[in-house]
Amino acid sequence: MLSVYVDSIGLLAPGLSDWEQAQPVLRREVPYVWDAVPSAAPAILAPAERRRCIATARLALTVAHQALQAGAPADLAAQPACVFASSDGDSQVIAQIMESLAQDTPDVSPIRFANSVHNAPAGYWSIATGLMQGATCLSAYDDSFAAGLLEAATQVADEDMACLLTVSDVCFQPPFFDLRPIAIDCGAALLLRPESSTRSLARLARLDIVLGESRPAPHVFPAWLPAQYVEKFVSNPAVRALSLLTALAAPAGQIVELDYLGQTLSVRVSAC
Amino acid sequence: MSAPIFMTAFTATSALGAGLDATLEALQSGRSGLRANDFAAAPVDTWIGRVDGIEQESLPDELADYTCRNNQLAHLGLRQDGFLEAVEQARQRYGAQRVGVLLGTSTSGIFETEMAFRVYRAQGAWPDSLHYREQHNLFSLSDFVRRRLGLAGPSHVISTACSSSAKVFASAARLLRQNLCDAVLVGGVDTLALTTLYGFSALELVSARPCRPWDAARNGISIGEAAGFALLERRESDIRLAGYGESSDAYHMSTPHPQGRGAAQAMRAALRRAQLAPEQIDYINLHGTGTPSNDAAEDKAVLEVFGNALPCSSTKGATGHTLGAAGIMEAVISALCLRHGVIPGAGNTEQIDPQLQADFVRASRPAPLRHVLSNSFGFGGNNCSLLFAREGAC
Repeated sequence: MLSVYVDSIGLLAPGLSDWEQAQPVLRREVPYVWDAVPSAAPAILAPAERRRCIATARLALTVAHQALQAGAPADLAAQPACVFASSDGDSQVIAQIMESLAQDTPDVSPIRFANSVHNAPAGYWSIATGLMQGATCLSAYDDSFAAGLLEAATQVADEDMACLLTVSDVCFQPPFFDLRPIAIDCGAALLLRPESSTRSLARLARLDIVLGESRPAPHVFPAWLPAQYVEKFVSNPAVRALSLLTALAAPAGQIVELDYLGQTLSVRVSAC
Repeated sequence: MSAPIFMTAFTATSALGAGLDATLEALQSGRSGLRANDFAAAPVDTWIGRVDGIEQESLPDELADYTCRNNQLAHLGLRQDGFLEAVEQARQRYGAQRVGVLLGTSTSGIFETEMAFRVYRAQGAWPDSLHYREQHNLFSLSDFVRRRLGLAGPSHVISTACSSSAKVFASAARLLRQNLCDAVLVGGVDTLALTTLYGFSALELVSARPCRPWDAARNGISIGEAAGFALLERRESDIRLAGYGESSDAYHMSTPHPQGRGAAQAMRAALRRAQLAPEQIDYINLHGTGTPSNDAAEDKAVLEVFGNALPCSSTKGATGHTLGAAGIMEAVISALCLRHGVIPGAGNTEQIDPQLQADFVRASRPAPLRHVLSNSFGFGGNNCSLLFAREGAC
């Protein structure tokens, strides 16, 4: 079993603009209201990078920055490692590159090519924050959140250091929407710390994570989301993080079960 | 590292040939596998490290949807050096759920998407031959390999450009030490595609000649393709993963920090984890891509950590820069160098840049090696250094 502590959370999805605003919604104290996700680049980026950076990076950096700001000041000084989990890249960048390559004389934009790597958000993030620890960018298709959580938790437990987990996928544009119909933007970030770290005021909850036998669980979306939005939400693999965040909004010994490639990643959430 | 982790089996297929024998022979003889670009779909004026036989490789019927250049090379690579049998033994020894699969790739099956997009433009619809999840998505590679080998342990694809398949060693070591796996299949595959050939061209980073790392006249990379795999276990073998270090440059998206700041941090972290002093390292397999800025930055980082007396070289003049597969390709080369006592040279390099001060080796030579460091640095300033040790007498 891996045990890690959650110090702070970032969140951006339709109708969910950050952790402060989202908590009463996830606790069903106030009704959910759909609202478009703002696509502005986070202020943490310098103007040059803000101009160049793409939708995947804007979304990932926004939630990562929220989590870091909400954490204790010591968190930044402690230089967390970073894990960025994302099933897919930025369909617009890929479509633009494919279009360039289909010309008689292919002419790929150098900035677009540099932006096409899966670790573009991690690159922009380290430039913006000056954080020099390792950044691991991964995909496990629909199970990318579970894979990212396991990767981040093993980093925290094994390296005995903080790790900022960011999970995000942006909505797809035509023509790639036909192939991967992700219909909304969704990103979440969790700043995770080891058991050994001194107790900080920011500490929100403890996660005990166990990888085990598959337990076929019905995919019920958290009850706070009105039925008419469920299909759009579940089109984005990053919304798997919302089950955990819903439990974190009211930590009372709940267990969240995440599908992970035929196994189950069980996460017990307890108050601390 | 507390619980030692060993490479109990490994293999590599690149422009040097399929499997370890061809690879070792090339390292010892100084043979390069580069050729003038004959990848018809992307007639860029450059040299490439192309693998023969990929197009003829067929996947098992039940995995036909996974057919793409990248997974075909993965399949070709898996069939070398008895690697399939070694994985099967691990599966039987530990159980499928205790064997993880962590692989690196930068572009997965994008070549098939490039071709399909032309159909889309002409016909307004994607061709039936395109299977996005099984070909294009990054996880396609690990998904294909775990299905092909019947493995069910933790799995993902790491995609951090040219450090991808080095970083899988670090993640695998953590899974093993945290007892989430008893064995992890690590590795990586990247294949020729228009995106990378034209993309690196647009950045003016490809050479019109075979790449010449550390040469005074070096002017870019030669893009290559490769598949490499290793099985990591706690069970002893002659090659041990002694350490690893990961870092970020925090500098620029496509240019390394000019002083090699992140690179030095990664190398130091690998030494620290291995509890070794710089003097105990016998050879560095450099990232050594052959671009002016990459080699200059890495030279500064090596000098800062090791001084100028440690033999080092780049094998990218032999294999080409295999991008997301470079980490595993050079991990396997490092293991071969340790096992067979050879420091590989860099045959294309003619005149070493007098501005660079590391002890760069041009001609292959025998040497007893105990500890070898392998560097992999990628776009976005993503760095990983791996440190391998030979067990027993040299």
